[in-house]
Amino acid sequence: MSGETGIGSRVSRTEDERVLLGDSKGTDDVAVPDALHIEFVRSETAHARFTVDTTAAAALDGVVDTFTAADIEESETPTPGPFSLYGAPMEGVEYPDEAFLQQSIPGEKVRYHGEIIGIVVAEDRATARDAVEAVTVEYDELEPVLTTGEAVAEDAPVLHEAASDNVVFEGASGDRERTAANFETAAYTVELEKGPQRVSPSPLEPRSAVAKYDSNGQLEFVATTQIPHGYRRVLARILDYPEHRIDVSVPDMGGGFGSRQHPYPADVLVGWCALELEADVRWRATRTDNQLVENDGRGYEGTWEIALGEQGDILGLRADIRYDLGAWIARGACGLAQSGNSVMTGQYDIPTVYSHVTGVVTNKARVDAYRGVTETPMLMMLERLVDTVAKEAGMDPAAVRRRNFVEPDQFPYESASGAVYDSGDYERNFDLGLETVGYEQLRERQTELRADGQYLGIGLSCWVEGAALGPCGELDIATWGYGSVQVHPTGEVTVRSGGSNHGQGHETSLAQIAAEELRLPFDRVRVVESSTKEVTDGVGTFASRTAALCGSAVVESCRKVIEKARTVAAHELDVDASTVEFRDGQFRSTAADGAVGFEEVASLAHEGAEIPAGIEPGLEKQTYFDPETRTWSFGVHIAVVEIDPETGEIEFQEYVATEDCGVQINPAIVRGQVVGGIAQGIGQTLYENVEYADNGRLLSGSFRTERLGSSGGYTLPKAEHMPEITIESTETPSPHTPHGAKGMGESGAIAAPGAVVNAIEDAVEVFDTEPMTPPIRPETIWRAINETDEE
Amino acid sequence: MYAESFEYHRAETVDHAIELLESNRDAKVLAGGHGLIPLMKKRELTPDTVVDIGGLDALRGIERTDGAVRIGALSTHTAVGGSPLLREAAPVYPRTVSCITGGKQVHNFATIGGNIARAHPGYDYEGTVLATGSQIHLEGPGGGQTVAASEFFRGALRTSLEETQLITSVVVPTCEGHRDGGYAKRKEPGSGNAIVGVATDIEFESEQAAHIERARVGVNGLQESAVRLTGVEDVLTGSAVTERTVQAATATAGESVQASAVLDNKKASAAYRRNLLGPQVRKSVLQATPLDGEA
Repeated sequence: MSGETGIGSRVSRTEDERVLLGDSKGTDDVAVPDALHIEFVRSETAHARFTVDTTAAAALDGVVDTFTAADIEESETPTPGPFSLYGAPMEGVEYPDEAFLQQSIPGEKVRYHGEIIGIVVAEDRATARDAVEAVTVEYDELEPVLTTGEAVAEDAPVLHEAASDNVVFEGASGDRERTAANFETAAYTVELEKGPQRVSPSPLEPRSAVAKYDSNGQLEFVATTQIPHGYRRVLARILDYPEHRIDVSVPDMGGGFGSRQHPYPADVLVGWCALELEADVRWRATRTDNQLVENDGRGYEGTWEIALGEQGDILGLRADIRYDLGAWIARGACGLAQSGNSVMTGQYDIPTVYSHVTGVVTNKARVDAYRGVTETPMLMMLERLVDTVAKEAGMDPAAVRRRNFVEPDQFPYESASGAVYDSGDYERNFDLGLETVGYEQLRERQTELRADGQYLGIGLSCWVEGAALGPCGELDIATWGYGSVQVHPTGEVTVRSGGSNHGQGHETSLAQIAAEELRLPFDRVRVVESSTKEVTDGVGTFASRTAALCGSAVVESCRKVIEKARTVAAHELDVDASTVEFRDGQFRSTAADGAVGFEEVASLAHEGAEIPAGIEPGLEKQTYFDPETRTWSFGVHIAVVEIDPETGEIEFQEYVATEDCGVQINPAIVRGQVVGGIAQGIGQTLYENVEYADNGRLLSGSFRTERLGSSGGYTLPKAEHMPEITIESTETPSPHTPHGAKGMGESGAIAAPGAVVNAIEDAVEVFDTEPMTPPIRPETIWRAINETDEE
Repeated sequence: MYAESFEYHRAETVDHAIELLESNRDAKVLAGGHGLIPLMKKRELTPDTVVDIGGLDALRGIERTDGAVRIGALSTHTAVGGSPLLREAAPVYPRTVSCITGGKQVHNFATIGGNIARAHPGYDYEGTVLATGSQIHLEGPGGGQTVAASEFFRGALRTSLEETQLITSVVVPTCEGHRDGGYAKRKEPGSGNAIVGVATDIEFESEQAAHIERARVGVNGLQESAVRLTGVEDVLTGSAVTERTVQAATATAGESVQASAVLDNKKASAAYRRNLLGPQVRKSVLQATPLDGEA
């Protein structure tokens, strides 16, 4: 550890002061004098043929221009191409037809409430908004399908001609026959259904984009994206504009959570307007627009099953899952189905699995990645199944888990579902969790309280998080991490990372890595991210990749810097480079007296006068880090709740989370990520639900609505709803990253739902309730208890 | 979001405000703004005219009158919650206000007049206004008018208030003896409004608070407008303050309620709301009596 601020230090985040004091700037805060304002005409209905007339709007004072799909087609500016899919689809799956790839603006048919069907450009925002209301749209309404069940039913309305049954992909993984055989012979089998639920990622800043166009033809974006370089690449292709003439930067955004992992139609159209009008343009979604069309998360439903042997060995898992894609396949959607299947065994050594996934389109907003992604539903259901089957077999849920963990000597471990886990130590970490929460005493207390008519519930949820995806060769996409280190002649350091910090603390953690490697005080390191102008290249920040991939790249670049610095120091000391060591910030030789400081080396390198022959001046190195494999973090969450059977009210008594993400760069940042993920996991379990009306219009468009009869808008959990959280860690270093850190950040969102549902169902076990599906409200619990009473 | 364009007028006096309301038929009154402005920004309301009564100091203040406490219509939640006068003379008022959602920032702006004029079923004042027998004073072109709470609240988002009238104050009759109150609210997690909120107003025989002279219980959130739980009141009134009394009162909570009028929607079903009555009545009554351990 380098002093107090290297790897492992809980140094306060550099970002915190500005974000906590309200000084952070979002895309909409960026001043662009004379920028024109874009507002979108959005479909008011979920499924219809339409015509749009912008004549009246175009005639208004202050309106600069209006565009429909027809106008865009007619214009000489290239018509935007369709969105493509990202990443490899499922193995053996029929790849979705080109016809499903979304166009940024349809000309004839709308398929979801809020789909963009027109563009207004005006001198100021208020005029643009008024002008949108002057646009006339005629809808020839079609019946919408709003659930996967409706969509696949016979004679259901069809969204895309290329899929007359509304199924756009179907695939399976695992061994169907062997799994069925194990289910046949199992002592206990349990089946659980998961109802449909969508959640809305809800970052702090609604989506926004600024596109500046200068007289040199340089197109510069400021936008709410998680992938600045990727955004450039995608828009270059879709707009048919040279990548090297596009720049992208991202200020603070207040989270992305996966919903901003790919560009949207709005981003494309903002760019198109800039090119068409050869002017600076800008757009910002209202919160309502944002809730309307920003990608939803989850959207899984189906049936999961588990088979248990007489002694408590898990023999098999099966799942039949329908994936509600929304009206179009979002860029990541196919890949998510595949990765979900691969994690279905969680921490357990299960011999046979089979999972069948169907991708179904519906007349709703698209579904794509959201923190936890497909690990969330897969592991929530797995952990619920383990608890349920354990109880059916009369076994302690903790004991069943212990019996089935993958053992330390089995790593690297290839699961029956095709995942290869790099490293792990599940039982040790599990024991830590149980000890921290006082599991044995809690079970005793639970029994005592039951006698008094009080109902305590304990919910276990073991989780794995596959992150820092790679290698490139396996995924067939660019998935490296970029990190460069530049040492200034004064000895300060600028680290450039291809990630894009939107709450993860990279300005701090990546600086800590460099501080550690270069033996510098932390405040002599500056981290630059989120900018194609300032950082050569990158893949962005999503799927918990940056600490492991960009972090590794930074480590490697630091080591290359030290390597070069050694040769410069050796030259200065007039010794052989092989005798020079870097220790405590100094270069010393075993073959001579004296030392050369880091700063001095940097100065020498910069000047270029006193450096070895054949070596270039400067002290700067870059790395594209392509991992050998993805990393696997793990742990257990344990929720303890008390339920009032009279009202169904839930009160948290305890919440323990164990985390093993390898080496922790900054334990305070790790804690922040875990707590934030738990908040979203609790939100999904108890509060959040995207709600559509029967006609396909979105109801939950606001965080707070007093509309009579609605369910109150989109309900995010608040501080008062959170339990006290105790976090304990073990550290099983990654064998594949130079600093030993693994990707982390999603464990809370992955594990909390299973822990909380298990705790609730454990509490009300004596009432023999039917299984519940999130979101679970007090009334849900009350009904579950009372519906069984009314026999 | 931006509101649609409107004309803004700042009223100088109550009479001036009424004149403005008379001469601008599509006008809305602006008090604390926390009900009106969000609706205007979402364009759910698009008045031609906004009459700002924020400058009418005559509508502020909480003071004793003959046999009552007069709460000016522009009294903020902060003012009502912090009023030593109300804490003594009608404690159910500050107890209720402490449960209104929104925190300090909202409480510093939102007013009792605005709250009861909107008459949203999930708002928190109605049960209290009803239970305490408070009266609402209105001013209009025809002069002043005093309306009983049961007359004023007409349904969800409906009151007897005419377009040209202003609420000027809420008048709370006081009593000679010791009085206490409670408000137990089951909060809807999204909006922070009440799914069921039970307000209890109790006059005791003496300072010892061992015997209830008169109890009145009003519940909001349950139906379109607040209602009295007369069954509970009958059990409590004239009874000794004991656990047994409270249990008996709780047991009758649902009895006097017209089941068909109970709200049934996605926030909570009618059956669940009725089910909540007992537990909420219990919590509310306990707050109003020494049984909960408080002085």
